[in-house]
Amino acid sequence: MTTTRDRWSEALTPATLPRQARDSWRFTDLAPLKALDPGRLAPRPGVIPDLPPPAPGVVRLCLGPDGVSFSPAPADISWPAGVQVCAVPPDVADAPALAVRLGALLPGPSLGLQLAPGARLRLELVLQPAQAEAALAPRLWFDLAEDASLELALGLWGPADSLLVACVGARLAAGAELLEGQRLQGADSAVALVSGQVQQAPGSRYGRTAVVSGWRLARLEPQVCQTEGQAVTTFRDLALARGQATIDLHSQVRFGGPEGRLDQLQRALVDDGAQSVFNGVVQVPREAQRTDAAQLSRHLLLSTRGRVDTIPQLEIVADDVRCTHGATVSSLSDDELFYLQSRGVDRVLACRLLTRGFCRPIFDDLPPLIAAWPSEGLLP
Amino acid sequence: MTALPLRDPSSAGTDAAVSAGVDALVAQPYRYGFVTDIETEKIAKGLSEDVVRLISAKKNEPAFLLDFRLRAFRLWQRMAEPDWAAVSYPPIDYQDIVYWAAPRQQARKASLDEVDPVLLETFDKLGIPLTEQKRLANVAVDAVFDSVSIATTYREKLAEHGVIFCSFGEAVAEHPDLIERWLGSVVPIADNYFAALNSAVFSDGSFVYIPKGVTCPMDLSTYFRINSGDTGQFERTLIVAEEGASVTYLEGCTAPMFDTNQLHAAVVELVALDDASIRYSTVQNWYAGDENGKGGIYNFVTKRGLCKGARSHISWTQVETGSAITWKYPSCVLVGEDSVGEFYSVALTNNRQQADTGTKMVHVGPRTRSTIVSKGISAGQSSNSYRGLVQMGPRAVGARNYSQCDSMLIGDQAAANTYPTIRSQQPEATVEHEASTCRLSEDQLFYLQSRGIAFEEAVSMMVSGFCRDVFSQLPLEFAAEADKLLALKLEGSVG
Amino acid sequence: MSDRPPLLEIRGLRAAVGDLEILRGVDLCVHAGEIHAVMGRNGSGKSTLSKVIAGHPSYRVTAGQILYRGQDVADLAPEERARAGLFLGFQYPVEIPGVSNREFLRVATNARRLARGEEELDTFSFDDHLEQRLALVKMDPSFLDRSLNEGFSGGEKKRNEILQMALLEPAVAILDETDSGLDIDALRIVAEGVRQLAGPDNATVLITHYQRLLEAITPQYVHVMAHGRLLRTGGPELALELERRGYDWVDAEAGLGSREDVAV
Repeated sequence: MTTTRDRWSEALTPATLPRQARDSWRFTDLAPLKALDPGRLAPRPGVIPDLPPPAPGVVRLCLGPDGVSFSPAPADISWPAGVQVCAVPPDVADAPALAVRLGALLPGPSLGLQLAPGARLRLELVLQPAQAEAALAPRLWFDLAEDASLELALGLWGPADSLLVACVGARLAAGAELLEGQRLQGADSAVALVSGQVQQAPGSRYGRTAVVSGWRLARLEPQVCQTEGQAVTTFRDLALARGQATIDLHSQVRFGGPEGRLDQLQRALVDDGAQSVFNGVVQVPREAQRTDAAQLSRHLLLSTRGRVDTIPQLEIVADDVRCTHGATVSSLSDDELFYLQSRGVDRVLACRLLTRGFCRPIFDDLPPLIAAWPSEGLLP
Repeated sequence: MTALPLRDPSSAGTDAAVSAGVDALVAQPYRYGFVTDIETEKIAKGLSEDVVRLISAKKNEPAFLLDFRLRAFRLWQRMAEPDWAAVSYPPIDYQDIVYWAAPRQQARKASLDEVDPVLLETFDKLGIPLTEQKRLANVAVDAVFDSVSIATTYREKLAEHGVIFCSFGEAVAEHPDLIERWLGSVVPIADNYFAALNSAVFSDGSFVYIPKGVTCPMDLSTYFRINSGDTGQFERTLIVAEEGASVTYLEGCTAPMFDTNQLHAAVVELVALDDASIRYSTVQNWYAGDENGKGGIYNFVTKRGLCKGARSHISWTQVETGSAITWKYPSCVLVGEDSVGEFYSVALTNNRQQADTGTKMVHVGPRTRSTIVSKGISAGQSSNSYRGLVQMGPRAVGARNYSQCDSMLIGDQAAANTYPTIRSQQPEATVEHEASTCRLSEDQLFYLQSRGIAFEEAVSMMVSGFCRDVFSQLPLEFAAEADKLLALKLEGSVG
Repeated sequence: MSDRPPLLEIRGLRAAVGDLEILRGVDLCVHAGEIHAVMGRNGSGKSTLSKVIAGHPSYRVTAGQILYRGQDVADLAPEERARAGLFLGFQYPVEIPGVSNREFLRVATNARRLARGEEELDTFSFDDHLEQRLALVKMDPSFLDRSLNEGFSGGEKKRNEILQMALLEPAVAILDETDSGLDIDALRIVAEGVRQLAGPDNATVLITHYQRLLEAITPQYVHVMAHGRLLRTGGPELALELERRGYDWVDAEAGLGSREDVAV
């Protein structure tokens, strides 16, 4: 009988790991992942989260006592009209991403939901294991029919020496809207790999806002395909990289047809010996005329031991498009600091105000459900 | 130049009509595609240690240089051809290339009078007259034909100022100490596959040395001409500007039309010491292949400048229009404090051309500054990629970079890719990158046409407007030439 | 001038940015209850003088003293000078995205209050306090909930500067080109604010190169700055003379070639 450890070792052999010398793994050191001991990782019971009670009409599911299922059980819930539990389709799990491969080695929890035409749901998923060395591998799938709407608040916590491997998949039919807020908070020895696969039909809207804080290594790979264009995608990412953290965002948006829109803003604050990596791929093939894509990456580098690697990546074949991207890496502005100081604000506080100001545009864009969660301790 | 059919403005706005107007404009012949009929001495095809020794022996090189070549060759054998660039081509058979070709003539030309008149005529035809009466007034030219330099003008006048400008081979013979000191100091032997290949087999090229405090009294220029069909071209250029020296250097290149591909793997090294300044401009017009992608030069070139001294300044300006494939990243390593690196580039691809080009700005020293302005124009079914790296090292306190890379797409089958990489380890450094994509729109063309401007003139106005930031960096006569070159290359592509 | 000790006294002040000397020996004495105007053309060193007094880190004081209430402030950080009651109204107020104007005003006001031995204001009492001051500059309260100066028009930025001055209640306010970029109405409102805040216990130094602002606020003393020094001092009539005759005669009188070595 093969043990988890064997399968793990197999999954992490040089032959199956991404080639680090090149491509999208060039800047990401996988050592923290390899350092986790698969023999000690196990599902851990979920805690009752320290959050205000859910607003009326909001469904909140937490990590159950067994650490591999939701509580309350999705089958026992009286879902709003038009919402039905379904299986997570295997094709979500077949994606080649490392997160998917490792996720297959770990137990759940998993949740699949179908939203009938016009159905509406506000859903909170709070997955917070109680103990260290937790293995948590949520697999989520949302199938939204025409004009259905889902607001999802997804909270993922990683205690010390834990591994979180999350796969989120969604299919949005015409007129459907998925508004996703993610909060990923991990201990400074935890590792997170989060993959996203969203397919958007014309006329659909997908908004994704993620705030990542802590972790030793957190890698997010949201991928969106606007199958026939004419959809709207919004990405907002904030990485708070401190300590020895590596926070790594590899996004990919492909426009399969004309008149698609992308509005992407990535911000990362890098302090101490932390590292932020951003690689944002935007693909505009020939059939994607009149695409309008804007991507902006902003890094605030606060420490001489910190490191930033940013690689915007635009691949365009259509000629009638508007694509812009920008990237900046800098520290706090001397002029801004002086302005605040000249009003009597001391340097330490001025730095904090400016740092918070840097983060604020992302917090301002958090969807309402997740915005209502207390954020103390998240911001510097 | 053939007369260009004017487009009927009333048809503007319909893609089909535009394409038709365009197709009619295609097939402007490459002007420099002729072959000079001259007896050429060639060695047999293929590459081995013996070939490397043979090349070195033919050039009577000192031991250190043979050693340099052999080390490079041994490293090259163990290296793999890079495959990360966004270009594709069938595998190159490195044994099917001739690594040495030279027009047969007297062992050593004592003066221009002894140069084969056929060669002088060739350069005349290319617009680079070399003879005393006709040569360019303000530019000293080193003319390189296949593997060897055939003439360098104004050598004596430059020597009065202490400036050394000669072929690489002559420099090895006359200034071996300088060559030994600086060769490979910027681009190490095994820097990359093509640089290693060049280090092993390089034939000739130009050497420039500007002594301390001297402002070079005229612009210097090397003109590269490939003539043989199966010969690889491997030149080596080395420019050293001592403290407070400054020089402007221009590079031009053309090749005949062959329907096979030729490999051009050059290495250019620039060194600027304290307060020195080097401006290096290239107008590259190799043969790009025909509209079906047959033939053309593979331009796999390593260019790098080292700002070694404080307040030194290296500026690269390139107008890339030729070549079937361009793989080229003129870079600056900014070591000296307050040193400045610049990269201004226009890369135009048409038909089936592929370009993967950009720059690296490696900020090592404090308060170093760099500027990148890249304009990519993709037409036809070509692919044009900007690939760049801006790196702020731990000591680069107060360093700044500003990058702007814009793409213009003409037609819906051309590709424009942008791969800028920024790495920073220094909080007191600022990096700003902006990029945009635009197209040559029918509305704009129509607007210009409706004011009485002819179609092709409107195109050329808009393209030169798009490239203005780069052209303004070129020496005056080059800027006009570049403008014309772009218009010529684009004729017939707009739609 | 008054017999009382001056609020602000500048003695032989020289300052440089990098190796370039911009202030070449400035002397100025400001008492409570006074309004001064420092005039001069662009590049004369006016803005540098204001920034050096406020402690901008880009400038190096190479000689001389800045005495505030008799104490040299050279070693004080900008925030310590601000808390002590020195205020600089910026010519180009910085835009700071993400930092709420209201929060910033509260933090700044409380820092000043603590320094004066007063209690900090909680959010509610601060909002009341703020409302009163807001009326003074006729600023739309919606600006409070925007990011600090971000997307403000020129006039709105200057009103926000005067609002900060009203909240911090400085002893010495130095207003750098407060009139630049303002239309007539905005200028009137700003001037009105400055006039109302001027009192017997504080002093104002207006830095400008136009007469315009001085028509609304009459200074007792007008200083002419050129080549990094205050070349002449007079009453309000000096400002009128400058308006009429330009600045060249000042250079001539000081025995300097007109525009040759103008720094900055």
